[in-house]
Amino acid sequence: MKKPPEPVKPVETFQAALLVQDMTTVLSLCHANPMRVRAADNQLFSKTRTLIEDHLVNVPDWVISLNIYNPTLRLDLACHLLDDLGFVSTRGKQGKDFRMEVSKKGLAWLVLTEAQRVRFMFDLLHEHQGRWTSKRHTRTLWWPGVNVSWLKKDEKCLVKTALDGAFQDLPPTVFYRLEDFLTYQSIQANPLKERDTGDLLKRLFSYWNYFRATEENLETKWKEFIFNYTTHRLVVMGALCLGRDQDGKVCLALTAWGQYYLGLTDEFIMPRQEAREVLVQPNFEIVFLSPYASVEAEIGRFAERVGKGVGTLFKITKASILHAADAGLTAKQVLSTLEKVSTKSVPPNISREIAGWFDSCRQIHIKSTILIHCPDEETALKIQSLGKQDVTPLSGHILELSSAKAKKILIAKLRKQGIFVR
Amino acid sequence: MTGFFPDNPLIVQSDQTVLVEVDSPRYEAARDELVRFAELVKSPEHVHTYRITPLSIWNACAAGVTPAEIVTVLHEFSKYPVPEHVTIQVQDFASRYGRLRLLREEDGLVLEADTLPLAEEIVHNKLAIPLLTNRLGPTRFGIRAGDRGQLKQALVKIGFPAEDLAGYTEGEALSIALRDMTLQETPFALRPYQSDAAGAFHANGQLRGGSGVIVLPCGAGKTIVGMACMHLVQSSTLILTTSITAVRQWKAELLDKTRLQEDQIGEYSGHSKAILPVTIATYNILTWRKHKDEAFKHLDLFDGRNWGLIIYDEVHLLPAPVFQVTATLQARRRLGLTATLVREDGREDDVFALIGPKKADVPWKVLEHQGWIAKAVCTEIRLPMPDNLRMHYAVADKRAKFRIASENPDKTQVLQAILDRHPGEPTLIIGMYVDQVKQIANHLGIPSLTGSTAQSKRDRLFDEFKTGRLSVLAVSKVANFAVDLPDATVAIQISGTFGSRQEEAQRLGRILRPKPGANQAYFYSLVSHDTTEQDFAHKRQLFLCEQGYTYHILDVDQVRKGLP
Repeated sequence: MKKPPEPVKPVETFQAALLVQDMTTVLSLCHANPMRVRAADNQLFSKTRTLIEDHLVNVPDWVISLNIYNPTLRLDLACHLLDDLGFVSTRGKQGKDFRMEVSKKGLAWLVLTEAQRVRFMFDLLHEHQGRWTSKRHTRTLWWPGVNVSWLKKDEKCLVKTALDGAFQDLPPTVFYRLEDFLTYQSIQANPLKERDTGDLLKRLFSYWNYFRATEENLETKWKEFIFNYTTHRLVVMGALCLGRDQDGKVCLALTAWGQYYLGLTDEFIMPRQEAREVLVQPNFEIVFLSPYASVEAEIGRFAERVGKGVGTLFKITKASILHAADAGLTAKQVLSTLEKVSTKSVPPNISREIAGWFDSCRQIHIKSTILIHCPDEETALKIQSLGKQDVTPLSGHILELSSAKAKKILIAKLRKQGIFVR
Repeated sequence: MTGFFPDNPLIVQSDQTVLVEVDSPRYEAARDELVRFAELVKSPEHVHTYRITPLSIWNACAAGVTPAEIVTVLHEFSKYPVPEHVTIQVQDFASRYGRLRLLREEDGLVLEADTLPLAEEIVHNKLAIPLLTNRLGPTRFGIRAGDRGQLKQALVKIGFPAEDLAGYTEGEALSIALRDMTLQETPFALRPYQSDAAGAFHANGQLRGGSGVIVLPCGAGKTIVGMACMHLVQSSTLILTTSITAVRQWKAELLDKTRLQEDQIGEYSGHSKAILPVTIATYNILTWRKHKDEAFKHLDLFDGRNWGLIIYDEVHLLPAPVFQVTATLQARRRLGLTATLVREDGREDDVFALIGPKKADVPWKVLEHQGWIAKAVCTEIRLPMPDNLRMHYAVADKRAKFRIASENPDKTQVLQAILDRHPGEPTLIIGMYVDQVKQIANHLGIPSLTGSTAQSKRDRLFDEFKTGRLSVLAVSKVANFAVDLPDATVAIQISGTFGSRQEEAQRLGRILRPKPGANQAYFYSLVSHDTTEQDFAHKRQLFLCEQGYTYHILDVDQVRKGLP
């Protein structure tokens, strides 16, 4: 294909920062109930996996048919990335009952708005422009679908720039058939063909000895690279919007987030969404009359999932709101999310109850302390005068000692006064 | 989106629930079709939920709806493609109805299967075997007349409900005519939906009519539909209802709206045991016995006369022993009246098998739009616990907590504010605790009605309330069931039975009769803030919202400034 692909009109579209949403879902669930992991390999138990997979944002069948967004793979990616970023940690009690728990860092990310969470990830990618693998994992965000483990640093940058370059000229929000786009890029803008790439190719293809660098093979390879980059990075980050035209062919378009990712703009704006219908009902149910994947993870932070796809997908309960409050969300954040996504205004009883549940939350502090039990009030007064500001009376006979450090000094003073600690 | 029709109102889900978007331009058309073969589960403001079950499909089949029609409706009104297995299930459920038929022949009752394999399946089923006497042919079995009900129950459980075409005994003839003008000199005529419901039940006297359930919302005049059916059947009638008060009100309504005379209507209760051409009894007296090992002697009432019609009021509350007797009464016409087919004990299939299929179901929204029932606004008012009770509340156990919160003495002040907002309007103050009801009645200087109030005093108070001489009445739980107070406009709930949905429905039902003017009723609940009472009130809130009522929550300060 020598001519650039023609724009097409999609009959349905799908855009969501799926990876960010999956991370959000896993974190929300983990926060509500820390997930058990196997002590041997730190992996989730299969029962837990099934439970989480049921809660992941729904993806239309035609997107799943690209064979890249099955729940197992998505959960793996989300968990690895959360681990990589230090958003979760695994803790066990005396060598058993290991659980994946949300860290402070994870909580701080979870309470951000959707735009802030996505931007955080984009900025992280910008920061690590040249970095392709993390210290611990090679399968997560850093992996764009191309095996670059054997490349030198400048070669990695070269490949990354070339991959980004394939999308630089796409006008925003204009759809092209994926197949046409890939074919055009592999023929007309294939860096593997244009340069003296002998060494690069050797390192790029670990099976070089069996690879014949014919024009056709290089085109096939570059096409594969762009496809992987498209699906494993750009689509899952919401930088590309997928669509399906009237012939059922998959098409793609660059989004506002995509422009930001490619450095075409410094402005990070929320992409315009097609009109979707979500209704918040007075009985605390949230009904999706059409699929709206990009808000599911948002709502999942403070509501219980009860369905998938379309229909009644969430139910707001006191328990779900208290979990959200515990995670650091505020009534204002929850209500503004509901107002933003709901086609009709949020019923007044819902707003009132949510605000009330948040109001009923209290924070307490639990600390370890040293208590001094005295036989009588006179002894207690003596100790108080000896311990001065380190000792606080809790009742006539019981005193609190401020720190373990003060304990030693106090015991010595008491001994001199004939008061012995038993 | 491929196969997406946004203007259509239905979303058919894989679990056989159907969501209906109320704001869709095709909502009403879809609802009218859907109600024929699916049960309404909940109806909050924007999206209603229906469920397709074997029973709902059999009810539809009994009413003459074909599976092809059902599938067409689902496809025609659905936003998205209907899951294939749902259409297959519908066809499967429907294909089971009518394959077995109960017929009356010269030698007695006969069960007839449409195919030999089905006949073999029945004859090899351990539920059915003891109820079949002899094999009359490859697909025909004889059955004893007394086993007719039990066999129908068994066949429903097996999954092949029988179409009962064995007919009824005519019963003792009794002339029952409806009046054009009531005894109180007000014009009287059946409303169109009442007349349609009675007609659907009677089916012009054909074998397919004569037994079934009519579902109408509270306040829609189920008693009147019962009278209309009596008029169509023209036979002696046994009416079973929930309480002595309801017995009296049935009697008053019969005297007021039919040409039956006082000496033709008997009351069978703890007070009186008159068995007359029309007899009204309570479920309580029928299931009363001295010791739990004794037989239910009052169940003999079913054989006390040659009844041509038995009416089961509030059929969703029908007690188990009455089910057992009803199983032996399948030769008599049976009418069930209820606001909901959903039973707390899950015995909907027994209602279907023994009383009969659903004959009419009119959504309350339709009646509200047509002005036949009042519009109701529900308001929950939250007030804090008084300082002197907070510690007492904090250290109490869970059950005591609920009572302390329910009896919050500050509720009296709020009550007064509500009464000031509705001066002269007929108002019921409803409470769970007798002491609280009496205390509030004393404080406000109004009469109270509790379980210990003598019947004569109850009747007097009801009469004064109906005639407007009394505008505010405090009542305990006795008013939950079938108290027919036609002019109540405001109900104020000061305490309830924890989160009971049924009680909430009954209490709200007290104020749903049509009102002159704006046709507006008000339902208030007073709840102590941040207490277990609020948690239980939340369950009742959910119920009311799922019924489609607008629900407001106000703080006591907002009430003091003046109710909206």
